[in-house]
Amino acid sequence: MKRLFIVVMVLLSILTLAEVGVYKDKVVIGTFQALSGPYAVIGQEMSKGMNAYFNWVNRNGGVYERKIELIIADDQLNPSKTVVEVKRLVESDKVFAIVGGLGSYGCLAVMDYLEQNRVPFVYQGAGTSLLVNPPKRYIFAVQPDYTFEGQLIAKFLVENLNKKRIGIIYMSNDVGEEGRAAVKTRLEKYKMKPVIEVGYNPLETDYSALAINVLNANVDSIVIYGFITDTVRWIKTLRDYGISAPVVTTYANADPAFLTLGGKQVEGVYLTGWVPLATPDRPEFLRDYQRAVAIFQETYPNQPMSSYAVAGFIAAEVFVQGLLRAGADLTREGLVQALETFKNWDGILTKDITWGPNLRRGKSSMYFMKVEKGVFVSVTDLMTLQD
Amino acid sequence: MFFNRVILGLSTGAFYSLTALGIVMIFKVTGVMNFAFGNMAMFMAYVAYTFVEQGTGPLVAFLLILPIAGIFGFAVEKYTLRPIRHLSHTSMLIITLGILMILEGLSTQLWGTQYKAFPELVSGKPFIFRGDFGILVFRRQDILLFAVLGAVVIMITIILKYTKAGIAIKAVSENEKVSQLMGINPGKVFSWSWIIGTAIGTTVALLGAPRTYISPMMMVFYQLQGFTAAVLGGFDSLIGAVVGGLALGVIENLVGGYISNELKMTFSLMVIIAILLIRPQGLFGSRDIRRV
Repeated sequence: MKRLFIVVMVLLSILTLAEVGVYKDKVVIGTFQALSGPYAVIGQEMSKGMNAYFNWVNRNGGVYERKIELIIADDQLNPSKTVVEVKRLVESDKVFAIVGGLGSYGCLAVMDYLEQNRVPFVYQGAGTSLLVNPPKRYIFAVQPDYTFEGQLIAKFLVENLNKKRIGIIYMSNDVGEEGRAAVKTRLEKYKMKPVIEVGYNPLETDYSALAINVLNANVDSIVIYGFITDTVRWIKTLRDYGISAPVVTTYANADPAFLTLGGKQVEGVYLTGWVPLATPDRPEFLRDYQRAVAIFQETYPNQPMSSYAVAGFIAAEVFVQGLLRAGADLTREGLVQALETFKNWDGILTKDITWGPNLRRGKSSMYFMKVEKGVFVSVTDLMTLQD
Repeated sequence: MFFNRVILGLSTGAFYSLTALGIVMIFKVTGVMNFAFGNMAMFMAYVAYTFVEQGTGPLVAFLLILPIAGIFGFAVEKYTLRPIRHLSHTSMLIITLGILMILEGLSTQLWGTQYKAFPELVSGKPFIFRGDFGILVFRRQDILLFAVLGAVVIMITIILKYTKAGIAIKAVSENEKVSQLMGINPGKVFSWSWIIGTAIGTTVALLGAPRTYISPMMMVFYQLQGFTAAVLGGFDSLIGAVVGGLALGVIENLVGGYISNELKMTFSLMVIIAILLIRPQGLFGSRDIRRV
């Protein structure tokens, strides 16, 4: 009887001490991605990036002999589905953490739930500043947010390009509004105002009527807060109307698809960037990128690595580094503390990530690039708002 | 400026008109609201993209895809909808929703997850006019769109007025049972309406593709506006579909120009609700009169 009691107590203590989702031979984590539906274009690619990196880690023995098991929930980028899927991941699948969820609205929809349940949420495929401002203990952002980016764009236009008559074209949704507000905030510091602000519905296919307003405003530069298809559509319309002012747009468009779809029309367009460009003049980045592609193609032979796959790769890379720092006795609190030790951390593709107590915005620096002869070419070094 | 906005509205509206024409053509004859209309056209656009990838020009791809689209529409109607026609219209509606989802998933599986660029059927510098009205830009593709809309309207009018198939379509849409008693095979007529409807949808997809790019979402906006245009024009009237589309385009542009661009769609829909309150059957729709 006494022996049985001891065995039960030992088992109970193991069960009590063991962290959710952490087993002797594996760590189970979850993510939510649009695997089907109209946004599968993004979600499938991001999932590939994560899968490729975790597969590579697992093939090389895992982290402290634990393999990483990734459960991908398909939320179709629909926030109401995100909530259901994430609750399922946390409550039924008992995941240790959520890594790399896709979409601003979905991330915001589950942000409070994960925070209250003390589930670490590392990397959001989203640019809303609400995730990091105010900082939340369990939410770690990697991608720059639009509030930071918008201010940096205004700084670049005024201080680097010496522009005076800036127009803003933005999607009439939270992403566009946040970008517009940020550009305006920074312009106020220079005692400037945008000469025109044009909101648009990204689903619309013809912006001709709006382009006339831009033409009449006589702008010397234009900020476009839109995503790939509508931004390219805007640029083509502006050029058709003879508006040749330089355009600056968000890092969300820094994807090969932007070049393919835009062709010659996007020549000279400036974009922000946070993942270093692998160009021949930066051999260290080129080497890192080739290494990442090699890892990616171990799982997806001969497939190109899109920018969304790069995002997934970075999400996985950052998380694995967190696991390594958290040590063999893995707990959620341990992971949070480990992530808070990141200081300008560089991985293969991840560069310059810093977190700390009360600091959850991982990236506070970006650079600018330009489309020249059909390729992205960086035109500045990493910039911060304080420079 | 007013003139400018009206012209731009007509250009936008031409897309809505063509979409509405395709939707109404199927609805008028078979009574089925085809929710897969946009995705069937999207799928055909992917096939046309494959032709272009293989080296055919966009125009050849367009000419090749139209008969394929017709066969696709025929097959969908004959093998998925007609077998359950006797059940209810709701069942057929659910089938079209199923087809919508299947095509959405299939397209990313077959053609991958990247947006595809589709060249303009006619390329070249746009025509630019300047005057008191400001600046007006006509892309060559827009002019082609007007021409296609005109040609489709003329063709449909000729078919419906002067051909046996057209008269049969009109008869079946009036009264399926009576037309059957008159020796018309309604099955054939249903096939024709789906063939024509799907081909029109595919035309919209290919003309719009240089702007929307080929992706599973490419037809969402056009389908939404096409439905709205059809409601405005009267769901059982082909002329109504054309006028409804053009009117919607113009209303949208005027609201966007003079009230608020961000509330463009909201205001446009409010205007349409107001019109429908006065004429519930739409601008050209027929009232459903029944003997008590």
